[in-house]
Amino acid sequence: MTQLGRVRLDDAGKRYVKYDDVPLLLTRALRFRAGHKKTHLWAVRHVNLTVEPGETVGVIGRNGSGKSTMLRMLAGVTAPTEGVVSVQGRVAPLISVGVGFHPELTGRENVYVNATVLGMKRKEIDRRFDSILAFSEIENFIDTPVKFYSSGMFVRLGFAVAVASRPDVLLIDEVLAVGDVAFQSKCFDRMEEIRSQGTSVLVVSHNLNAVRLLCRRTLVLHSGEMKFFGETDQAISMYHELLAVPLAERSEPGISGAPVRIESFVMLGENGLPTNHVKFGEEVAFVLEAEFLDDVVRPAFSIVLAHERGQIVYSDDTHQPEFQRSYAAGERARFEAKIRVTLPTGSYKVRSTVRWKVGDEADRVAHYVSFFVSGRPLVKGLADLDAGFKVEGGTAAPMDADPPPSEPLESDAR
Amino acid sequence: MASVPVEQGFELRGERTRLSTLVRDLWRSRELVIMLARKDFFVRYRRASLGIIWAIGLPLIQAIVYAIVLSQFVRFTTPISFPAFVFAGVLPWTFFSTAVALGTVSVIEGSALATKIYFPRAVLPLVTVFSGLYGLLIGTVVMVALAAVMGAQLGPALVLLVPATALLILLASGFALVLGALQVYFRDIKHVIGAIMLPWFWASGVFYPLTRLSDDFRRVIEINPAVGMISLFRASIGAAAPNWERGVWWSLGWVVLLFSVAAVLYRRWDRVCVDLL
Repeated sequence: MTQLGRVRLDDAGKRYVKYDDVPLLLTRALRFRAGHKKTHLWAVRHVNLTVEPGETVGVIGRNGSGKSTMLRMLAGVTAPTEGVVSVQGRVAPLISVGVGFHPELTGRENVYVNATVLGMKRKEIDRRFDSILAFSEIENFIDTPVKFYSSGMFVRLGFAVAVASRPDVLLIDEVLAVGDVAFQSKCFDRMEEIRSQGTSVLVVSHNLNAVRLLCRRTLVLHSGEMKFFGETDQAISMYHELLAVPLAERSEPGISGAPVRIESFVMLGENGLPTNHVKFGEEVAFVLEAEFLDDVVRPAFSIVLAHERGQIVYSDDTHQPEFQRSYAAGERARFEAKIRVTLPTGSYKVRSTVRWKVGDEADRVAHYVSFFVSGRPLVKGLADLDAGFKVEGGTAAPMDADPPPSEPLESDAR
Repeated sequence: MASVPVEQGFELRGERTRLSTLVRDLWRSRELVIMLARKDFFVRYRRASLGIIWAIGLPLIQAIVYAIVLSQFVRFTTPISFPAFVFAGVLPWTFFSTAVALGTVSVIEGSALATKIYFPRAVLPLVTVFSGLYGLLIGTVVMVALAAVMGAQLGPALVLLVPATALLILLASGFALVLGALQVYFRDIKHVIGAIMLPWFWASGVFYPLTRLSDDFRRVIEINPAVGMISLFRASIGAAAPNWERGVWWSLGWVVLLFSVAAVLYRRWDRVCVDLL
């Protein structure tokens, strides 16, 4: 009985068959001898995963890495070609909210349809209807057809029903990206609640911060293979390594005829080699190399370090007397910014810009790198100020166990 | 407060499904079928101005038109008055042909739902069959009333309406299940069915009595499953041809065949049809 909510994938793999032509009865009959043109494609292979009841596990990977196929197998929508997919209990997928919602029906009617699809019996729905209504905050509109609903209302209602169905396994994908911040924190709270009751949650997302906040363990998929399954921070760093995009794709569209061309922009670790994963306290150098195609007098170099979500942590500029230089056509420039990494765990982006002014016209070209910081545990926020702690009084009581789990201080850190 | 789960979950090893699992899951989904059938029915008639009246109004009008037009140039001897006779054929035929046509595309159209959450795929064709039941039941009452009004002698034969309806549902379900599955693999099935519908209609004795056919011709026509099904409806109001039971045996044979084929198809395909949607 206590195994409800347990999910297990045992060497699971899914192979799709793609036919080159649209299968028609007539052509099939005629071509029976000739054989069919088809190609096989392994979307996912050799995946091993166990999720215990009450756990939240993340699944990350690039587009095309097999995430949606995995999601389908976990929902029971498609069966594996090899291996075993085992889910104990009721599954509620939140894949694209409002599964089964019909625009002509009212909210109330759609709740009943949706809930039945998710496996609830009529009496259960009757009993829980009021709490669904309360959670979704749609009281006044519950009897109007849903074609009049905003997308936010859709999400709220869909999520309310999915959670009310008391699933043993909850599958979530990008759907939570919709909805405002207040609603999202309501969702997180409700998920915490059902988690403590033994529901396991799988989060398939591109939103790495959400994954880090919610999931203790994460699976990394790449081209259908399982690259890593374990502690979320390590998983995210693996994801970034796999995500390393070739230089050419990382520059911003330059203006044609620009007098400057950025040749490279990299982050160098303490050993002087390019990297995109660093630890707190490391000293890194951001190095930009550019070639000038024309004479430029006193260009300015800048860097902007921003959190993945966009908040700017630090920005600075060389438009100061001691850094002014001029370049003639054909000359090269090297701009280096050395930083000691005092950041909490997270994904960051550094953007470097070269600005110039020719006559009255000013313009710029820019380039960026993204990287991941493995910061000190328990530290959250925009910067790790490394406060010196002192605790006095009482008697020392060293522990060898894990430190007490900290509450997600989402509201404090905002 | 631990809630008792509706289903204990699943364990998928490979792409095929056991027949016992299919049947069990389908039985467990009966509330879903009823819910979706009702939803289908209400949505269909919510926007129409006359609403539910269309459900039986249309077959009724059809029957009257056939009766009027045909009696202009053919004299059919029918056991009861011609319009009532025709309606007894049009009613089951309309339910049947609609269910088959909609059932064929039901899985494709239901892909929005089916690709996101699992439920036995057979639910989709069955929903199209069951959503027509409301109209059928009301129409049956109208048929009996019409027959009485037009002077037919109604008696204990009315009990035959029960097996008549059952056979109709079974036949429609059988075809819907098989064709719905095939349509996923062969996208032109619905066009084939569309083309067959009209000749099928002509060959089903909807608007003429079987007694008008030569004996040999009639024996061939009876292979058509719709003939037996319509005969049962006619027999309930005393309007069937002699030896109408023959057609019913053929219809039952079709039911057995169709469900066997459906079992084979769905075992293979229930958990993987999504891959093609």
